[in-house]
Amino acid sequence: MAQGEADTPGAGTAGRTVKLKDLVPAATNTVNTTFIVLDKAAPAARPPHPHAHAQAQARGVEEVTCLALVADDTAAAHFLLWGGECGAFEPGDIVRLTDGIFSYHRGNALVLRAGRRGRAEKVGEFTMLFVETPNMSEIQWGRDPGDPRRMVQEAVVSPYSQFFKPPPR
Amino acid sequence: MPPPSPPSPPPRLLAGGDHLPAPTSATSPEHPFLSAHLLLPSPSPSPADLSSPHLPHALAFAFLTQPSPLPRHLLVALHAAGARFPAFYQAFASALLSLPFPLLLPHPRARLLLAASELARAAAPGFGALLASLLRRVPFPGDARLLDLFAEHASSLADEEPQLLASAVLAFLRLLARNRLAPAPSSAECKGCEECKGAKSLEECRGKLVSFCVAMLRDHFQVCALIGRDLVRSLHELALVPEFQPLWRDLMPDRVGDVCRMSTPGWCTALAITGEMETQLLFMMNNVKWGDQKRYQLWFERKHLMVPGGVEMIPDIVRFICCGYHPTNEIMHSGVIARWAVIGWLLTLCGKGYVLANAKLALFYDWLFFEEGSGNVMNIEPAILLMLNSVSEYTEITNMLLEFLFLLIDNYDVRRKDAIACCVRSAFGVLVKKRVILSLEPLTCCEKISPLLRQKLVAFLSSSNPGAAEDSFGKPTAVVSKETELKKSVCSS
Repeated sequence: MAQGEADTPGAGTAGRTVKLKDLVPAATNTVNTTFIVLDKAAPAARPPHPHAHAQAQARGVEEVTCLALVADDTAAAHFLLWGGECGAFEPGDIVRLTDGIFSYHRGNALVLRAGRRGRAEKVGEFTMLFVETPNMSEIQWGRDPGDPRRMVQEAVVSPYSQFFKPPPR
Repeated sequence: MPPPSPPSPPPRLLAGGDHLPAPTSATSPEHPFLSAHLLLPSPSPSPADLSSPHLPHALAFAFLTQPSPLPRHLLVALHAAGARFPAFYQAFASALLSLPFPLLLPHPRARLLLAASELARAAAPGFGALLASLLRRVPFPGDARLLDLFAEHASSLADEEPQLLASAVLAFLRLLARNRLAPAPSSAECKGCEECKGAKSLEECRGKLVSFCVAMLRDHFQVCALIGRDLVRSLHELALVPEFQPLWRDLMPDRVGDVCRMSTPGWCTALAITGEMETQLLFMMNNVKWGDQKRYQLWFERKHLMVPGGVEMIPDIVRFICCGYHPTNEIMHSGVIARWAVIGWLLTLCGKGYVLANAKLALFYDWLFFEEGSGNVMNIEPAILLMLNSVSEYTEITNMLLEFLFLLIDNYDVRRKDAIACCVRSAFGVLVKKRVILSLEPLTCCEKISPLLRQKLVAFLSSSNPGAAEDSFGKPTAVVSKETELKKSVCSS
């Protein structure tokens, strides 16, 4: 099994649906949520990461990823599309994520993604309201002094996404 | 001995993908069909099958997916169930209607048309809604069957379902007016299936389509006239098509006046746009607040307008907004994006000159035939609000619209010029009287508007009916709203 991602087996069975504003970075595949894709960056191909999917690593193929801005009616976040997901979702698509993970990717970027155990499905289009601030990926988190297993918000790095420009007015 | 091959999975109705719900998932529109199919894999006309509650979905699944040729027992089961249970046909038609048409695979799509024609042949309850929904989808691959079906049943439909026949005429006239008969290219095809290979598209039978429309107008004019003034609008766009010219010579001249007096009835306001467009436009105008609309507009553009034949839809979208959606006062004051703003955005996207002209005509169409008392002020409201609200920042839009309105008055129908002028004057008057706007001063007095147009407007409003013109000016007395003050300050700056 690949290392590095703390995909806790069976952790996704909780089945509770959360809003994006309730996301807290954690190394567990427990995020069930629905959001709308606002914007999508160009796909980026990178050489396999040492911690990448074991199969991809074995084949030596590049992993294609693509960062997307997603939101619901409470908050926005960055969502990392992976492989086939990059072509499957377009801005305006409503996506349901089951057993996803909200954690630091490659050490620094805080992103939501399906991960190996999660699944992202297009369930609709267009008809969903959203807000673009706060952006949960633009928040600095720290350990809860009272409970070091928990993360708490320390500061807002930026109210809006710094990566995606707002649409022209 | 080779191991037994695993049973093949059941066929699919909809285009799948790794990131769409699987048919086994309860959220998939295919789910009720698949579950019914698993309980009743091959519905037969046996008493047990006929009385099964799963029959409508199971039969629909079999009907849509069984390879060619369609097994006869399915047809027998369909009509046996329909004859035995009065609600069956309706349930079968509703099941078919619940499938998202754009995702249907080619074979099920061709079979859906076959099912629709079977229901039409039997004049089964529910077939009208199914056919009307298919009319909103043209052009699509294999859509010529829809034309055949209407041509075949025209006489009986004229008597029994005149609205449906009129809907078909309007849908086909709009398709011809937009002049893009080719269906969107589809990536999937039904390989090696004679039935699907033989399915024709309207693109290949343009002549037949034109003949059908002309024949309906000649033989069933009263039915076609149910469409109201949009019939004339569509025929005007086709006036240069040779086959329609004789109609304009001998049939239309005496009837245009009466037909134009009829405003567009509710059942055909959304006919010329797809269901997805309708849903998304309504979502924007009911839910999206001012200032938040930009992304929705971009998505709408990308999905519906930046595709072949997309911008040609704009005039029909404008008609839908003017006549097909009249928000309540509560919605209008809830801070959501207004109809006039949506239309203003659409006008900026027309690109081609003739599309823009048709879109502006669509916007003003109800003005040209407006009658106080019978005319609906909500149909003419978007144009006046777009003109007034554009004065300060987008004066070129106000100028463009006013200029176009005068062009229409003088040229749209030269023989009825005076009647049209009278209707437009009455439209201005009613908008003030009903307090849609407080006065016409922002248009007549604002210096940002071209002086020529302002003079023309003042002269137009005061000519022939000075009393009404005074009303229209709505001379502010003691009560001057803040809005008017604001407009004045904007205009004088």
